[in-house]
Amino acid sequence: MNDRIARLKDTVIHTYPEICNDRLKAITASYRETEGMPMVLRRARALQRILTDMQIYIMNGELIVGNQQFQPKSAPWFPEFSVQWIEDEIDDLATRRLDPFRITDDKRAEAKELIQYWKGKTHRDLCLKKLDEMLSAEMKQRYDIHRCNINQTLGNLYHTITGDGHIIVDYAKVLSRGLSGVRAEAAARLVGESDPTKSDFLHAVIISIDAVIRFAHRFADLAAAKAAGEPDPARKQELLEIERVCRQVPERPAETFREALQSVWFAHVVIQIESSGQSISFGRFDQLLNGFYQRDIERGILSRQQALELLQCFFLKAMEVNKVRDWGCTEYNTGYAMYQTLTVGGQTRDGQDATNDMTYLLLEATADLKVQEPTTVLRVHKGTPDELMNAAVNALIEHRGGLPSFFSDEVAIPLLLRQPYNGITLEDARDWAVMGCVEPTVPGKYIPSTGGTCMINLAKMFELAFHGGTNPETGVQVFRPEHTKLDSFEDLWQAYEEQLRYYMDLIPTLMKATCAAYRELTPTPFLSALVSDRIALASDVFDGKGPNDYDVELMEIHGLGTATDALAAVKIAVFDEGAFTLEQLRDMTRVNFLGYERERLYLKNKVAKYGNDIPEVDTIAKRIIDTVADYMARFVTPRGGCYGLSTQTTTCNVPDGRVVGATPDGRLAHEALSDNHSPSPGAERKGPTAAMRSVAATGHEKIGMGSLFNMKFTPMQFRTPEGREKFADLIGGFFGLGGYQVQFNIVSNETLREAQRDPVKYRDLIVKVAGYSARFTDLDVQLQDQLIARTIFGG
Amino acid sequence: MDSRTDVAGNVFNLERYAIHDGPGIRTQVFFKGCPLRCLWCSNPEGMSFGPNLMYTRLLCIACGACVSACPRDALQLTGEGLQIDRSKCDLCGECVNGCTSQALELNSSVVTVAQIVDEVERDRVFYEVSGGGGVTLCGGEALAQPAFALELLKQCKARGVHTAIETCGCCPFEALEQAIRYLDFIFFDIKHMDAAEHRSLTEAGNAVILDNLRKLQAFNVPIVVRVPVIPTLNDSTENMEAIAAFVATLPKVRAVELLPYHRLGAGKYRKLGVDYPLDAIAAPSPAAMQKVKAIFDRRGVACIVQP
Repeated sequence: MNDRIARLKDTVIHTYPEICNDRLKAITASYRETEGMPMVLRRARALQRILTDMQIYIMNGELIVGNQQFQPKSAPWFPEFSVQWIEDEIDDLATRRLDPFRITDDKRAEAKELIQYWKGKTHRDLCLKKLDEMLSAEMKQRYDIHRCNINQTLGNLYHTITGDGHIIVDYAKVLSRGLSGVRAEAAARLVGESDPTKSDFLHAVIISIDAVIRFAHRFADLAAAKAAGEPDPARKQELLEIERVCRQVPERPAETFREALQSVWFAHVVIQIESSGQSISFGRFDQLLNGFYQRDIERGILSRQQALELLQCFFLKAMEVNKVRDWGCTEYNTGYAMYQTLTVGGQTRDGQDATNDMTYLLLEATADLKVQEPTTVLRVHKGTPDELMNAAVNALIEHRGGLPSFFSDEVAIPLLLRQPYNGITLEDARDWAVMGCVEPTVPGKYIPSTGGTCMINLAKMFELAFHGGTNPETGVQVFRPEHTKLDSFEDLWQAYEEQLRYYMDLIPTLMKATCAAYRELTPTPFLSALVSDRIALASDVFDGKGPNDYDVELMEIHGLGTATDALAAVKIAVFDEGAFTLEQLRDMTRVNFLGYERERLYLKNKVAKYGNDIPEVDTIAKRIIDTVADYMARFVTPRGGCYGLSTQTTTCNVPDGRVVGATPDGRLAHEALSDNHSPSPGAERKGPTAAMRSVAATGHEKIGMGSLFNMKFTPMQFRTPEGREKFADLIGGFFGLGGYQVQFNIVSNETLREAQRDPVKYRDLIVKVAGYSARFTDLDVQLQDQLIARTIFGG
Repeated sequence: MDSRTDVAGNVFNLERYAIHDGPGIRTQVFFKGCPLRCLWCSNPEGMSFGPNLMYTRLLCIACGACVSACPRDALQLTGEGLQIDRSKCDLCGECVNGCTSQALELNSSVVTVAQIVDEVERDRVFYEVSGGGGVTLCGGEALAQPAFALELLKQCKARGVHTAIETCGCCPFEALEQAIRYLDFIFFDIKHMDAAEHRSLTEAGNAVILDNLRKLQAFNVPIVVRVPVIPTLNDSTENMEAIAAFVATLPKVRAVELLPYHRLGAGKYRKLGVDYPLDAIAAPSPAAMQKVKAIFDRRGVACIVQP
């Protein structure tokens, strides 16, 4: 990277995360003024006020501008979603163990004052009210309102407390028509519209767009002012160019590569400001940008090196975005995760290989810059050139923090085509991109997909089934199973499936409450204007799926490896080998194997585990997935689409593990669960191909919102070109077996241990966690330990 | 063809995703037992033909299950971990069965060709996608169990799996001659050109080895000669010059691979309860390896230094 980028990078990644009150002040003032108005208009007015009042900056050397808050990595408040946690946690924010944020005393006092206005008015208040109305009396007893959790098994905390996000808007529309074009569409649609709900939405779109255009002009003005006082003629020229570009885009269609990047960035950062979602992703960036790039190259107004520099300026803007979460969600998304995923490669809408110069340039920008946002991912299909695979592997090795990860078209496209209630076209399916961690969606065609994400802790559920519905930690019977006889593995499975069905039946209700609250209180007119044909529909995305867009709502199952191993251990140790009786095994887990270390090691070492190419075990993982996917297929979501299962865990496997006692696979009480779709830590003993065969054997086409397989390799084998090529073939083989996604940490355990000992020295060490990468030293020590305990493959 | 998948042999490891021993992604089958006793051997657990009892103290939880399981009273738990009286131990394996921590292991098992083929087949997609991957027989010395090795090669070949062998070459030529019909690729080791030196380093002479390599030139199977470079033991200019001169006369040898001495096997000696014989020797520097390579380069022998 050149000096400019190196300096900017240093500034951005080493700016300490700090809270900014700008958004809080503006939205509170605006909401006070607009009481009684339709909510969608209040949202637009609030956005207008925020974008007008908030502090803006242009840093030395920046070429792409547009900030979320007053300095890099500073996070805004989103009081409209919840304020109780702010009141409860604000005093500890700067000192908390994970993802701390600095806040000055003045700001803290100011925030405490301002949030008073919001009490009783927030999304969370409404969610809880609706849940109170919707849940049965029995369920209300079970529902832990603080953790938003039932029996420590099914949780929906996240979307009762924060925004949705989880979207890839139609950035191509912004580039081709400019926001003035989108505005004109809304204005035309407004003519003669007599339905006030619709006309309010359209007015809100227009207000929002005008606000965004003015926001860009603020940067133009700032650039002009800075240029006037700039002694360095080269920088002065750059500032004048920033001014020119910000007067041009996003208002008008982008005409150059640089304008395209700037235009996308303004739309993107405003979506980050409008609402508090995460996983706001960029879509197929090589497809979006290559035309602009080629045209500028042909016209001789851009060099490859300049394009690379601009891309890296853009990436650093993505690194600046941040989000402050309550403690619960912080544990779920540790490492300041933003999940701004950027997809390259794959096929064109007509099935040809889509690789272009920009594909390579984006990989190069990623590898060279070595930061964790955006999360670059590569789509791989049968026609992906070897040259691109090798370039991606080289990028992965150079990046050293897990980017890019790899996804298979051969699974994703059939997966999208089979989604019920959506009727996705083949052309659209081929146009898919990764949203968030691993979710396959079509840019600009999917409405937000986490209206109320429910997460099932598969390991806790196993524990309850294994102990007859009693939580062994408390001795309380939390579930009355119909299946009480556990005389065979099949009996145990029936008990497990009974639990699965019980919790799955609750998901639509939980989802309905949160989706309704989003719709009522936090519509997002700016975001909606950039999705599908929502302007023609005159309808916010939170109103639900329209005829021309798609909806898949995320639901997650956590601890697949742990649950599979636990079930397999009972099958093998009790029912097949008769090493113990079921009651003996229960007793041992109840006492956390205290006094039974020999027996625990038998269970851990000698009983077959998921991840070793053992069909008998892998089948159990597949059975869990099939059961959940098939069962959930019967439900239509409150937004009119289908449920999409995912095995991603983000960092939930740590808090999820904390509520689960010892399990029959030899895992000790409260240890982290297996991460994502991966086998248990240390379980993979037969090499990477065996692990891949196990993971592939679980089936992936039914996992509508994606699976995630995390592998760790020593850096050794990558010293030679042959080693790197064979690694690319390893990925190809995994996809040949039907794998969907795989990602890699290429780092020795010695380095990770050294980083635990000397976090200051290793503060910039990045690792792949789940769908995102994070600084290793930002992670919970339990997660760090688990990452170290995961099998490391050599070669 | 006749299929004798019930032929069995002694194997001490089966490694999938092997990427350094032949084209593509491979499965490596480690045959137990070797006619040589190279001082630098990095797989000492492969030397003897029967199993060895291996002990890893780090894993031991000192539960004592092995001690009570041992019918010959060969085990004793001490403050230093488990003491094994190897003169009493008859390798019955009772202690291993009782050991759940995996501190005790018997390092080889008798497996049939069918079992190995089944395991080899599992990674077929990886062999194919990597273009010419397959199976590599190594050890130990695969040709020290000639019938077993031959049958395995036959079976793999019949299934279209690419086959390779890494051999020390110390075997009756008939074993090689039979195997080569089912081999796509050969790694052939040369340690020293001087017979007396060879004997002192490996406990065997080199006449049969060199003769076998000469005879293989009559067959149409590509060969890569592997030369371990062990500082002070075989890395003299004289020896390397002699190897290079010899190899230059062999038409089927595609290249020489130089394998720098490493100490990764040292831990295994400990597990076997044996002293590591080369404690005083350090790995050669990259510069030293380049110097050796230059010898082959000067003779026009293609030469690769393994990292």
